Order: sequence, then structure tokens, then C-alpha cells
Amino acid sequence: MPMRRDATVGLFSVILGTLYGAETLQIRNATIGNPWAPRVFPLGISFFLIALGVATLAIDRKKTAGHAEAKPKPRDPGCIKLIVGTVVLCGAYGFAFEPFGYIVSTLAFMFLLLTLVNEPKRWVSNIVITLVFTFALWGTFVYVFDIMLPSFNMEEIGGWVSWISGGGV
Amino acid sequence: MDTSVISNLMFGFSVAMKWQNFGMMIVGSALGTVLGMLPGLGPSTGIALLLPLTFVMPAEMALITMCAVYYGAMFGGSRSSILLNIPGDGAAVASCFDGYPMAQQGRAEAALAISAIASFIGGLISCVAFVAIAVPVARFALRFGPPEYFVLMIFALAATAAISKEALLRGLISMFIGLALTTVGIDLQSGVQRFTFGTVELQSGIDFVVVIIGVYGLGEILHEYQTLRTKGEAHVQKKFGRIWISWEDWRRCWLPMLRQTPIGFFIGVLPGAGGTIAAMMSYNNEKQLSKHPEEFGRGAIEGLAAPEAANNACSIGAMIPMFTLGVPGSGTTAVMLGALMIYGLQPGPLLFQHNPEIAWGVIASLFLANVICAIINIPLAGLLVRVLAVPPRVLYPLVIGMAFLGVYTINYSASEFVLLTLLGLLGYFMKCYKIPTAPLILAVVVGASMEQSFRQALLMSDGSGAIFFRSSICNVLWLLAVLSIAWPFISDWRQKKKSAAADA
Repeated sequence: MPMRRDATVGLFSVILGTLYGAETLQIRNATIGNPWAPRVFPLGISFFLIALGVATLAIDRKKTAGHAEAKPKPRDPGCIKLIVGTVVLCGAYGFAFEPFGYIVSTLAFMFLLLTLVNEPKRWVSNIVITLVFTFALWGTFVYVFDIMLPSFNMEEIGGWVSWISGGGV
Repeated sequence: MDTSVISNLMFGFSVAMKWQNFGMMIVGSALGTVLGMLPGLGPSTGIALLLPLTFVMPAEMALITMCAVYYGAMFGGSRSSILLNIPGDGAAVASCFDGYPMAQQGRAEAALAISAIASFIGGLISCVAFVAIAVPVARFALRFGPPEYFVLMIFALAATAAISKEALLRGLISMFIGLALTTVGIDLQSGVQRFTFGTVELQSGIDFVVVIIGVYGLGEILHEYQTLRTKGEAHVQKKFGRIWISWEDWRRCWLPMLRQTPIGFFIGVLPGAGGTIAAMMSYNNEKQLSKHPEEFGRGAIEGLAAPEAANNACSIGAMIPMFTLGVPGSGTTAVMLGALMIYGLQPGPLLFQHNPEIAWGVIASLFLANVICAIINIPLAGLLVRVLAVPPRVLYPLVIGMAFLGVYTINYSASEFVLLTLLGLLGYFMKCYKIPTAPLILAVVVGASMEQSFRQALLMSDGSGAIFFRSSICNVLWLLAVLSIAWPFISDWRQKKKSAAADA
């Protein structure tokens, strides 16, 4: 059965607060002054996250006691595809940006993202937008803001290839 | 207003009128107007996306540009409300109520004109009030020590988190997530690593610009995908007659604009209560005061003028706590406060003493940006609204691309791209589960200095928490913090009592 909105938020807060609190206890003692000083503020945050999560869960339980669960709206699979696709492309762009350089990685990223969001059938406009966006921003950064963007890096790509094939790094 | 204030303001005008600053003000106002009118991208997202591009500018130019973007966005927010019935941001929701019916009745020109005129009048009056109030508040803030600052930040965060009774717990959770994000990295006071999980990239902490762009920019777009799928594309009017109002329209609007401006300004000064509340409150007030309340919601021009004036007055008012106390009152001013900190400037009362060219230059630029935005939004409105014809399915990928490049400029490294994606997912999750994002952004910006003040105060008192109650300022701020959390409950109780009395 899918979870209610408040219950999910409450549970998220409790889990986050607990994990954060556990990690807070792993922080090393300070060598100067109060050894616990770096932990005090995070411990307060952890306590409040757990307390607020518990309160949210309790209120949700009270609110829904004796009431039938409302049928949740079905999620649009098209929208989920867009979100997952965008997240995967963003992650891949992060890994490709420095080894492949700005031009190659941005051309690929923008074209794939536009294909995903603006649909593949508009491939001509997707190519034009990709080219204009990539080169217009490159010109703005390099010539107007004087910011150098990464270029194609064969050495780093070689490192990646050998890492993937299990030979290096 | 004493003479030193006037001479300082004149000095500010000399800074703002430098051709480079003035040029960026025009660019910022136009960009802000465009960003403000695009549904889903409000002033916060707009400023967050443009923030990294200002890193190459001198501090005063960067701040002037950002203020112009903010201001332009407040003007532009109503364009899509009027023409598409889709508000550019929350503060422009009230402009849909009468703006869209006016456009449907063939009065789009009058609606576009009155929204710009009301924004101009509300903004101009508020600028004068800002100049009159800023210096006394800044002088008063010089009395604040670490305990007072800590309690002040608690009040600001509590007020932002506790916007409504329903969202109170979620707002507080959002605030504590934001505070938790600020504790990542090497602790500046002890040199101890916290929550870095052995990664070098996290040792310098999570840059708040990455959080802002991730949560506001990427998160917003992931959430807007749903709208893209369900609503499709809207068709926008592209041909207009003369964008102006009649004498009758003016007669109906001048008083509502003048009486709702102070309300908007006051709401803006209060931490947490932003443009949405100012606009809604002024709309409801005006409806109650009107001789023809039945016309509201059916194209009453004063129903558009009142919230527009209040909304812009609110945006100026929100800058007072940021400049004078160093505490942001809204998500957008939190982004701007962060920008001040990037430039190594100390926001708060000392800004007026140590960097008068920035403090007064920015204040003077508000007057000028107000005029520029009016010019952009009245004669050029017909041209600018064509931007609304850009389909979101093209716009969103472009914004995502801009977001990544913006993050790259923070430290010229792509190491934060993955973090940006994760924070985008966090922003999406928060929007899906109706967790307000403004408290998180505020907490991310003030979190580090809040912890510093907390620990400095404890050092001063040898660990005694009594220091947080040492002065009347502290006690008043505690009272305000408690009141701001209790207020949604008090207001709810009063409403119930009122409706019970009406039923009886």
C-alpha cells in the first residue's frame, strides 16, 4: 500500500535525523577548547529532526485514524521517464565534462536532453538548439567572462577506459 | 530624514549611474522581467541561475545586477498571470484573479499597463521608506553581539518555517535539513572534519550556490515536468493595441495602490512573510474595502492594481533585514545575502560604514531599476511577452544546461555536478511532498554564521546557555520566535471563533 504524504515526510525526517546523529557521534574530538564543541550543534539538529519526524508521524496517525485511505493518484509513467532520464543524463554529464571537454560533453548532453524532453521527432530543431546553445555559451564564457572551459583530455579518457576494463587506477 | 542620508543617497546615485553599473542594471532588469514571466522560474530561481555569472563582476556591479534581476522578476511575474492565467511565481497568483479575466474581456493592454504602473508606484514609495528606515535599523543593530545574532537568526528561521499551521512541521524539517547541510566540511573553529566521508571534495563544505541552484533550479524543473505533461502548451496573445490605461481606470486604482503599498512593505520587512502573503492580503483587503466587491474576480482593475503594488513594496521591504541586520527575510534575499558573503562583505550594520558604495549604490539602484522596469514593462511589454511563446519543452533543457555551467564557475570544477543532481532530486522530493524550500535555503545561507554565533556566545559564557537570555533584545527576539510559531495556531483559532460566531 502506498504511504501517505505526511507519513513519508515524518519517516524521512526520523531516518535522516538518526543517520545524521550516528555520524555526528563519529566526529573526532576537538584538540583545542571543549572537545565536544564540533558535535554540539549537529547533535541539536539531529535531535530536532527526529523529534519533528516523530511529531509528524503522530499527527498523521491521529488525522487518519478511522478514516479510509484515499486512493492515491497514479503516477504518470511519461513524467517518471522524463525525471529518471534527466537525472541519469545529469549524472553522466558530471562524469564526462572534464575528460571529454565542454564542447563534446555539452553537445551530447544537450542533444540527448532535448531529445528526451522535446521529443525525438523534432530532431532538426534539437540539433539547431544544441549547436546554438553550446557555442553561444562557449563564446560568452571564453570571450566575455574570460573563463576557460575544459577541453578534450585524452589522458583522462585513457585512465577511464583502463579503469572500466579493470586494468588501471 | 537627516542630511547625511540624502548626501549618502546622492553618493549612491553617483555609483549606480556609472555607465557599467547602469548598463548592467538595464540588462538585469530586462533579464529579470523575462525570467519572472516564465512560469516555474521565479525571482529566486532566476537570481540563483544568474548568480555564478556575476562572479566576474566587481561587488557593487554584481549586487546592482542581482537587485535589478530581482526587481525585474517582480515586475515580470504578472505578465503570464494576465495573459496565460499561470503565475510566474507565488507572488503573482493574486494577479490572475482579475488580470486574466481582463485579458479575456479584450482588456489585456490595460491589465499589462496597470500592473506595471502599480508595481512602479508601490516600488517607488517603498524605496523612499527604505532610505528612511535603513540607517536607524542598522544603527540599532550595532548593539547586537553573538547571542543576539543567534537568537535573531532563530527568529528569522522560525518565522519563515512557520508560514501556516499545516506546513509548520514540514517547514521546520526543511529548516533543519538546511542547517545539517551547512555542517558538512572542515569545522573552522576546531579544524575537525565533519560529514566528509573521507572525500576531498566535501572538505570545503557544500557551497550554498550549489544548494540553491539544485533545489530551486533543477528541483523546480523536475517538478514542472508534471505540468509539462498534463497541461501541454499554452497559446499566448502576441498582438496588442496601445498599452495604457484610461482616466476611469486610473480613478479606480490610485487609492487602492496607495493604501496597499504600506501593507506590502511592512509584510516584506517581516521575515518569512513574502510576496505571496502581501499580494493575497492586499487583494482581500481591497475587496473588503471596495464599493463593488462583486466585480472582484471578474476583471476589476483595482483587484489587479492592489496586489501588484503590495507585491513590489514587499520586495523592497524584504531587503531591509538583509542589508541592515544581515538576516534574510525570504528565499530570494537569502540568495542575495549569500552573494554578499561570496564577495567577502559583511552583511549587516557595518556594511553601511565599511562599504558605503555598495550599500548606498544598491539602494540608489533600486530607484533607477524601478524606472527602468516601468519603461521595459509598459512600452516594450508587447515585445517581451513573446518570450512566453518559447515552449517549456525547449526552455527547461536550456535552463538545466545553464545551471550546470553556473555551478562549474564556482570553483572551475565539475566535481559538484553529481551533488547538484542529488540536490535537484532533494528539491523535487520536497516539492512533491509539499515541504517548503525557502526555510532550507535560508538555513543554508545563515547556518554557518548561526553556528559561529552560537559557539562564540557559549565561549563568552563558559558554556552557560543563560547568555542567550542576557539582554532585552534577546528576550524580545525569543518572544517573537515563539509568537511566530504560535501565530498560525492563534490565527486558526480566531478564524474558527469568528465563523462560529457568524453561524450562531
